[in-house]
Amino acid sequence: MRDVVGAVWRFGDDIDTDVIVPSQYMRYEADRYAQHVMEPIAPDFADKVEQGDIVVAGRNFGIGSSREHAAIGLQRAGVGLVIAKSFGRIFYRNAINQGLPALIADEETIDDIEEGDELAVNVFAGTVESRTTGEDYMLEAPDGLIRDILLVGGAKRYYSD
Amino acid sequence: MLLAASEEKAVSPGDTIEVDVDVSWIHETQVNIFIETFEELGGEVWDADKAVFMIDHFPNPTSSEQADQLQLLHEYAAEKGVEVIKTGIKHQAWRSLGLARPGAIMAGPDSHTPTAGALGAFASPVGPTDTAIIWQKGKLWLTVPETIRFDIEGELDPYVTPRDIGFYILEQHSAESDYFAESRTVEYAGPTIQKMGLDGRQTLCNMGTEMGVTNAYIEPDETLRIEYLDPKVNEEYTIYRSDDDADFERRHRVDVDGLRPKVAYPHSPSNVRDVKEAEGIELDQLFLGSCANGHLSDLQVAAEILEGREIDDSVDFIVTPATDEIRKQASADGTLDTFVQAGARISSGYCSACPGYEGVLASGERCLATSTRNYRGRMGHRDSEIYLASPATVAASAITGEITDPTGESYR
Repeated sequence: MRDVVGAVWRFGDDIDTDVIVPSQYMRYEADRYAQHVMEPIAPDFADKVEQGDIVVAGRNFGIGSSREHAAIGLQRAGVGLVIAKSFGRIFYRNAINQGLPALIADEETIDDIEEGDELAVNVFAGTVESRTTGEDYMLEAPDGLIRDILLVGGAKRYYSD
Repeated sequence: MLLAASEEKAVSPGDTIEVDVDVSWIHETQVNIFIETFEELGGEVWDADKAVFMIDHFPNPTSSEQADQLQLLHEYAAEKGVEVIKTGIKHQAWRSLGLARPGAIMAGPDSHTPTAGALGAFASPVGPTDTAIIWQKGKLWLTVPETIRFDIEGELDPYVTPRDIGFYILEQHSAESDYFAESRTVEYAGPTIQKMGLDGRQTLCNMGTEMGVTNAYIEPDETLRIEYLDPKVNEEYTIYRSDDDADFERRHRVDVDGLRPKVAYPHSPSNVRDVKEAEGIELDQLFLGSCANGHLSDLQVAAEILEGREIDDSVDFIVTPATDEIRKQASADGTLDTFVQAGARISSGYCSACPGYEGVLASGERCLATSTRNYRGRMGHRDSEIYLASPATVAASAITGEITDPTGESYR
């Protein structure tokens, strides 16, 4: 089973896709716009995020325009997992399609996790261990079709012959 | 409906299932990115009768880049044996062509896809990779949505329109969230809906997008059968009804008796107030059209207000019937003539000023529009302002050059 181990980057409610990848960078290649993810609210993010780091946000993460750049940009920047109270529908689809796990947690869990906490997450079991505080949490583990798509690394691979 | 399109034995909200898609499309702004993804997957269209290329964003190109894009679309469509349709905005074109039908699964990359729920389809916007997978496999994965139902009752006063009902619903729920129905089905029902024509029903389903829906739905009834299914739809269809004991996540009663016209202020469709509060705000441009309000009855109510009057000298007024069919009907019944005589400019069959394909606003300029959305910079400069209102409010305001209550006397 796949573990994601990384540091937490905390964001609030209603983070829209214009914040995740500002529109002025959309015309560039993925590796270039990935250098600007979250720039409007966290100018250091793209620079400092490390492979496997974890974005933890409030409700409606990824609302707004349906640009697939948002999921691709976060993934290329190194984000290994996004945890939120809820997701914008198309962002969620795009993330799963790209093979970027997007998991839902309850309010208490989200509110308890702080910026910089180091988490070890078993994505398919939905278990989280905080190596910073020693707390354990449960997430909604992906099941059925979503689990199958994530297991092979995204929808293009899942639907390839 | 989703159950029938899947191979499952039973489905409940929250289940993730795979469904067979009946109609999918790509329009001209998305052609390049689509070709790349689709070719990666194999580039073989699963069913050329179910896929279409739509030209509805710039059918009349205004730059050589746009012209090149259209040429690419035509060449690629010919190579794949897929039809190209250029007859107006897709959400209204489905109706003029009879392509939406009860029980059909319609999915593609256009945010106002839920509009076809007024014709009984399950119509949902999806991303570019989703669309490439649909075109290759005919399949879409989706999570079965919970349903929020609005039971609408009461009678609208003259010049208060279905668009105002939608604004009212957004206003009532905007404190929760700008997208209070995120990932849900919004179903409209009740006596006001039963009496409403298909144009108004499409407007309400269209506004589901601004509520955050997966899809919107109005149960097919006699009005739909007489006005649409019998004359337009050749393919077989199945009508699905909400179970009597259906478990709605939430159910709201909306009474529209005495409802006043509404205006959405910049920069969100949920930033709604009564037109009374907005009266007197000076305007530079007005726009009547879009997939929210480019229907024949939208044009007719505006023309009734403009009949025998002229627009204010200080404003530009762009009128764009949503499809060729609507333009012809509005020409035949004299509606277009009223606009021309009043001083409006007529264009036709595309998104027009809504996302800024014409009537681009400069810094500080202000437009009152029946557009779908008023996000910052959507019609031009970041520091321009877009107010949204109904066709009646836009027409009354074109006469005075400032935001005006169409139910009042000031413009008469």
